[in-house]
Amino acid sequence: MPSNWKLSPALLVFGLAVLSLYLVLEMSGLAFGGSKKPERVDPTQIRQAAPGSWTYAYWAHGSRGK
Amino acid sequence: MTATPLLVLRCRNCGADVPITSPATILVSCEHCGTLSRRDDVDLETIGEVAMPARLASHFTIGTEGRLDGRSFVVRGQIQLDHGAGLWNEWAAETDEGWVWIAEAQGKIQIYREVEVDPARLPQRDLLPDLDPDTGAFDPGTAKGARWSAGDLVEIAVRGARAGLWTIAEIGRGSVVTCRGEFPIEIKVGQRTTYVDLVRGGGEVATLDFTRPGHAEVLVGRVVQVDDLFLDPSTRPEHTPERVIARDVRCPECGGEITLHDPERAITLGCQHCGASLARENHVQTFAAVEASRRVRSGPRIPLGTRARLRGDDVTVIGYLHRGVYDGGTLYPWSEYLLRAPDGSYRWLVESDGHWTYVEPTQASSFERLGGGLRFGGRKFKHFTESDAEVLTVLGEFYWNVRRGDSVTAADFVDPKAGAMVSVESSPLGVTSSFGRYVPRREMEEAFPDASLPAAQGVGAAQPNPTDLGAIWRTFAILFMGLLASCVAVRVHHASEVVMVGDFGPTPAQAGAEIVQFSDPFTVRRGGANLKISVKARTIDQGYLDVTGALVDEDSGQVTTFATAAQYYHGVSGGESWSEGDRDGSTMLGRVPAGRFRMRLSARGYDRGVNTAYEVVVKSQVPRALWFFLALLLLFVGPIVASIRAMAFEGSRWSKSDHPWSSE
Repeated sequence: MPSNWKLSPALLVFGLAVLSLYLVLEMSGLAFGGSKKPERVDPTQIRQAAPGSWTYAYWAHGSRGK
Repeated sequence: MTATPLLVLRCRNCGADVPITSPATILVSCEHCGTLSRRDDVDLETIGEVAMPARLASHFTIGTEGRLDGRSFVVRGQIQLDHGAGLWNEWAAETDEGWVWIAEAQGKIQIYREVEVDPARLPQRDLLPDLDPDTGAFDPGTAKGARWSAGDLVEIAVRGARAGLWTIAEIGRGSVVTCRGEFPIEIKVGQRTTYVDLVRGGGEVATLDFTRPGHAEVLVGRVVQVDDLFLDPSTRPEHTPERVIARDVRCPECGGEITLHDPERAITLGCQHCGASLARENHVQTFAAVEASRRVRSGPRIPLGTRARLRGDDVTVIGYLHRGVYDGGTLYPWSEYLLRAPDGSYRWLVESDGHWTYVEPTQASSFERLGGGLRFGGRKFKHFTESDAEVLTVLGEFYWNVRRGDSVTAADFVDPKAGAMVSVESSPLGVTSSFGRYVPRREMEEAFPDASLPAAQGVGAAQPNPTDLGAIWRTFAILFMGLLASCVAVRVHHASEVVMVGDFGPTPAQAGAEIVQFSDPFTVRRGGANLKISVKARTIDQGYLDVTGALVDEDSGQVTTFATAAQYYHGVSGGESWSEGDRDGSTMLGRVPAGRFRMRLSARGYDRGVNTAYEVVVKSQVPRALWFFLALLLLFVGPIVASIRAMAFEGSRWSKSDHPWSSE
């Protein structure tokens, strides 16, 4: 690199921070939007859920519970 | 070639020994009494007495030896001349191949050699401007049309070489003030000289000397640096700073006392007390008023006589000019301060709108015209302004004749990246040029702590742009490459592993009716990664498929809901076909833990989306283009903001030029 090829230290620092953020977002598996926060559903709640609701149907198919 | 004399003759005036060191010597001065003598074979014929030359800072003295282009030379004689802008030295030096002339003024050195020119193609003296009958100087008013004026082209055909075009840099008259040493030609002290100085690119210079009757003598040479001459240090003059003793004079108009800081060379004086212009001729001690007292409207912000250290130079402020141009009745002024360095050279400080430039004189041969701009010192300078500049105020002392109302055409060329400016001032009789560098205000305040410096307004013509766009975009390019490399690394690392593929549906025949189905259990091995759920309804046409789902962690009981859709509509409207929607829909779930999962899918069809089957694909650890483009956007922010700032700065700069930003 020629000696007169100066760089911008401030932009370099900012850019490296952006690259770090990019890698953190990719590696952490974060995905904003598209889903609600996961909820823990108790098996009792599943059993008491009204027929027709998805929890009832899920329980009724015997996939979980008894 | 040594200083050992060939023979020693006796001065007829004082009887002292007069050594003759060159067989070509025909004129010699006595070092003891200053008698100038013509040499014949065995004796000296007295011509007259000459004064000792004024002590000017110089790299040479009689006896100085050096080498130029591989040939040795020794300085034999010194002539001191005056052309109304201060004294300068010309040194006669003997080489193995004849004599050369070394002109030295303001620390700049030019070496000339007389050349033979075909007399039939020699420029004729009737092209010179007329002489003013009162002053004996050229009349600038006649330097037009058929007569020569500065900037005209002259063809010189040196024998044995191709004819070339030269530009007239100066037309002038001067006089030989004194001389000492030995010369191969007759020198007449007091004789008026008439010369036309020529330049062309690459530092080439030439002079047409019309002093003698008949055709011009032509000397061709070039600008050299002192290091090019390999001067023998033992033969160089002692380089001690010239001691200048200030002298007080009294203004003949107001009686006020004026301190001269450059008493030997000052020939114009502007009285600080009353504004009168004073002048002296032929270096006499007294000044006479040439313009009566007047009120000084704009005085110097840096007091005359101030000493300072600027850019490594110790300088004294000795003169102040207030100059300006009138454009449409509006005056655009600036200030110029003449500075004197201890070695006798001069500098300038130019202030315009509170912006300062440190200027030193340069030679017209040192730059080349390039279209509208010019090249100087290997750099390109853009044309900035050109106008007729008028002297409005003269205060302090000057080594040339300057009067209020003097006008020249001044052109400025800038290289803002280097914070540099070249100024070319031309009149019918001469072209002068100077090179300046922008001086930040902080540096000025340090150099002149007691001065009342004006506040800077806008952007200076040569002010470097504080935003180095080159550095910023180079940094961006490096970061962009880093981002691409990171993206590749992420794609290599991320498996995009397909953890579930299943066919579902079809949706009920009634629009909006729900069908609920469950996937087979599947395993996500990489915990904490994202999960991409894609719905592909390849047969959907003019319909909408809404899929809401839940991802159930069979180990922990945690449920994550999501929704996505596929739709596709098309038609013809106004003779043009259209389509909208996408047969594929997808959504992304973040930080899904490793484990065994099952998925509940609830689908509803609308329009012709009823009776639609669909496929669901679930991938784990999928690279996200969103993050890449978000990072790219953030990387662009800095360079774009910097570019806008830099353009605004340049727009402000060029708004003061002859080329406002819109035409750049």
